[in-house]
This record gives sequence, C-alpha cells and structure tokens, in this order.
Amino acid sequence: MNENFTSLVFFTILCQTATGALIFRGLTLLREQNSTVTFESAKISLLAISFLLIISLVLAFFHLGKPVHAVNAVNNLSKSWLSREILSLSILIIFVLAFLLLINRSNSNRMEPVFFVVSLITGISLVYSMIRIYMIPVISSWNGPFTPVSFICSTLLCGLTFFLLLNYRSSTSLNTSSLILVMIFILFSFINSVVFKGSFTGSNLCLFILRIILLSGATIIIATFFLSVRLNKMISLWVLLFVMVICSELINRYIFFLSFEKSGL
Amino acid sequence: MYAFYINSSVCSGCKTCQSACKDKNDLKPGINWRRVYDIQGGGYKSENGTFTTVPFAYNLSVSCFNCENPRCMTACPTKAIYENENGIILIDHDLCMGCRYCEWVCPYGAPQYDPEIKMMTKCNLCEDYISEGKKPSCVDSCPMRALDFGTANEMKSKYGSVAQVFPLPDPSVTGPGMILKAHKDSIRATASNAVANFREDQQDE
Repeated sequence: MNENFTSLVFFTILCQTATGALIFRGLTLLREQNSTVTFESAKISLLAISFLLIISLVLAFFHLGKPVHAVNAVNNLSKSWLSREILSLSILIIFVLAFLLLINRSNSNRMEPVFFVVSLITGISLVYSMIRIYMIPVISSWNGPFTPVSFICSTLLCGLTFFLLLNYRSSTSLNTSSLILVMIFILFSFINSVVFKGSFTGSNLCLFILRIILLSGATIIIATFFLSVRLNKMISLWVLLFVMVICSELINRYIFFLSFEKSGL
Repeated sequence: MYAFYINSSVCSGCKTCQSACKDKNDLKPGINWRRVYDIQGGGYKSENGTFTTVPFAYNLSVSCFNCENPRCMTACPTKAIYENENGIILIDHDLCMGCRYCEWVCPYGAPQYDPEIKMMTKCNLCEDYISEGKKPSCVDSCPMRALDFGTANEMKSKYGSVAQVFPLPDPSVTGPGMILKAHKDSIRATASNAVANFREDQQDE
C-alpha cells in the first residue's frame, strides 16, 4: 500500500463534503422556491464550497510522484475511472467559480436551476467515479458494499452538516426534518462501519472508539437543537457539530485505507 | 502476445533470475521486476487416532505477465501504460504522474514505484533482447531451466495452459501471459485445513 494515503483521506472527504453541500443547497432551493435567499448568503455558501473543492484538488497533488505530469490525468476518459473523477472535479470547480462570478448579476436567479442541475450531475458523477476507483477486484477488503455505502454516507452526512453550518441563521437550520436527516445519516454511517467491517483490532479499535465518541457527541448536539430554539442560533455549536462529523468521517476513511488487503501478490 | 513458462516444480529459489533482471535493467534496491516468492506452510492429517503434519514449501518466480486484459493499462488515467507495436506493455515516463493506481490494481505486483524518479516502473520483457531474437535475461540465467519465454501459442503448445497456483489470482481476472507447471506440494497450500504463508525474499537489499 502506498504509505502516502493521508492526502487521499482528506481529498475524498473534502470532495464528498462539498458535493453533498451542493446537492442539499440545490434541493433546498427547489423546496423553498419562493423564499428570499439573499445573494450574500448564496455567495458565502458557494465561496465556502468552492474553497473546499479547491483545497481538495490541491491535496490530490500531494500523493502524486510527478505533479507536473498531472495535466495528462484526463487522457484515459474512455476506460479509467480515475480520469473521469478528475474531469468531474475540474468541471465542478469551474462551474462553481463561474456561478460565483455571475451571482451578482440580475439574471442569476434564472440561472440557479441550471447551475443546480449541472452541479448535481457532476457531483453525482464525481462520487460515483470515486466509488468505482476503490472497487478493485484484487483488493477484497474494498470490493464490497462497504465502499459505496461509506462514500454515499460521507457525502450526505458531511454535506448536509456543512450546508446547515453555512445557513445556520436561515430557517433551513431550524427545520426539524434537516436535523432528523443528520441523525439518520449518522446512524447509517455507524451501522455501515459495524456491519461491513466486522473485526476491529489494535489501532483500528482505538480509532473506531474515537469515531463512536465523535458521532455520539454530534448526536447530543442535535438533541440540544431539538430542545432549545435559542441554541440553534449559536454558531459555535454548529461549528462543533461539523468538526465532530467531519473528524469521525476522516477517521472512518483512514480505517478504510488501513484495511487495504490485496489478493494475489 | 508473449508468455512466460514457469516450472515451479524445479525452481530452487536461488533468485538468479531476480539478480539477472536487476543487473540487466540496473534496478535500484527495493525495485524487483522479477521476484521469487517463498511459499510455505502446512496442515495436520488425522489417521487412526494420530496426527501427522502435511508440510509444503515451494518457490514461485514472478514478473509482469504482459496480460491480455491488463488492469494497469485500463486503470492508468494518463495512458502512460501502453502496448507497443510488438504487444509488450510498457510505461511512458513522459506521461506517468506517479499516482500509483496501477500498483493497486495489478494482482501480480508488476508495476513498481521508483522513489528516485517518482514514477512507476515495470518489467519490459527485455524488449531489446526480444528484438535481437534472444530471450529475457531472467529466462536465460536460470540454472534450473525453470523459465522459458516465447509467444503465447508457442508456450501453450509446448507446456499446456495451467496458469494458477496459490497464491496467484484467478487467471480469468487479467488473462496473464503465463503457463505454469505447479510444484507437487502446491495442492496442499489450498487444502481447507492448511495454513499458508508467502513472502518475497529481499535479502539483496
């Protein structure tokens, strides 16, 4: 196994967080078509998402031996899922940045659905490519249902938490269904870890326990949001919730890379 | 398509093939395009109330098998891994970005990372020797004559078509250019009660 996989842990989780946030942003806009989403809040959300995408792209370079040759990374689109992943990420970044430039213009409201559809398609294609990259027949520990479920859970859980953090002042954050969704994703993420990764030993066990503590902490914070509307407006709690969720998913991905087990030689 | 013949039943594990390959290709420590694996283990057999051991030990000399469906070539995002006009799978160092994905997908451990040039390297079947009508250096150096090389059809007609023994993967995965004569002990390695270990001996480092 390539020892330098830490950058891949951050790359995959940050990409999935940004994609998930874009998906939930689009879904919210569809649900609340008549709501007055200010340009300013939309701009901040997109800035934060584009920042995450650019950081993840930069991190991707860290595991390359020859980053100067990375321009060739999309040469094999017809066969390589890695090429398709890089293309999807590049399109997503270009599209988000382009929309950021257009957002102050008067007709940007009309362009919002187009932006949402394109970002949704490229986002889904990005996550799907990532799943296919790691579904390698000779790596038996990755070539199973754990990989897609884990990647989808990370996209939804981190994406929704990040989206709620960016919009904690708006009514969306107060929305009970959003908080219930976070709880459901936490539960799925936990069940996926336990069901598909049967045995935890040594350092993996310590990491797994730390992950459970973080997920439990996140659940307690959500419970406090249900109990007090006032607490809902405290940014520090939203930041803490996001940090707990993203750290637990980073640990989960780290365990995933540690589980690398190749059949053959 | 080219193929190697490996006679595991006579391989003594002397690693002359490995040394010849390193010498011919000037390979750095840690990079072994040809590797000799030491496979050993055993189990127990119960007969008339007594237990007897069923040990096994054999060697397997492995390199790039120039597969029919090379996973490394399909997975490479830069198209750095390509098949040349003679059907030999090679790496173009003007394209490789050193992502090491080919290392993950190859079940034979053929693509190997060179930390000095920060790119992947792999066995080139001694293509310069082949073009001169000679055999790869590993084949000609083997003192036990455990290795042979030629076109896939030639090797199949000479030696049959077996291409699987523990711990090699199912040949249907990549269609390796490899014909194998298994060691008589190798059947024991896959017995249900056997414990089998294999390691690549890297004493040259």
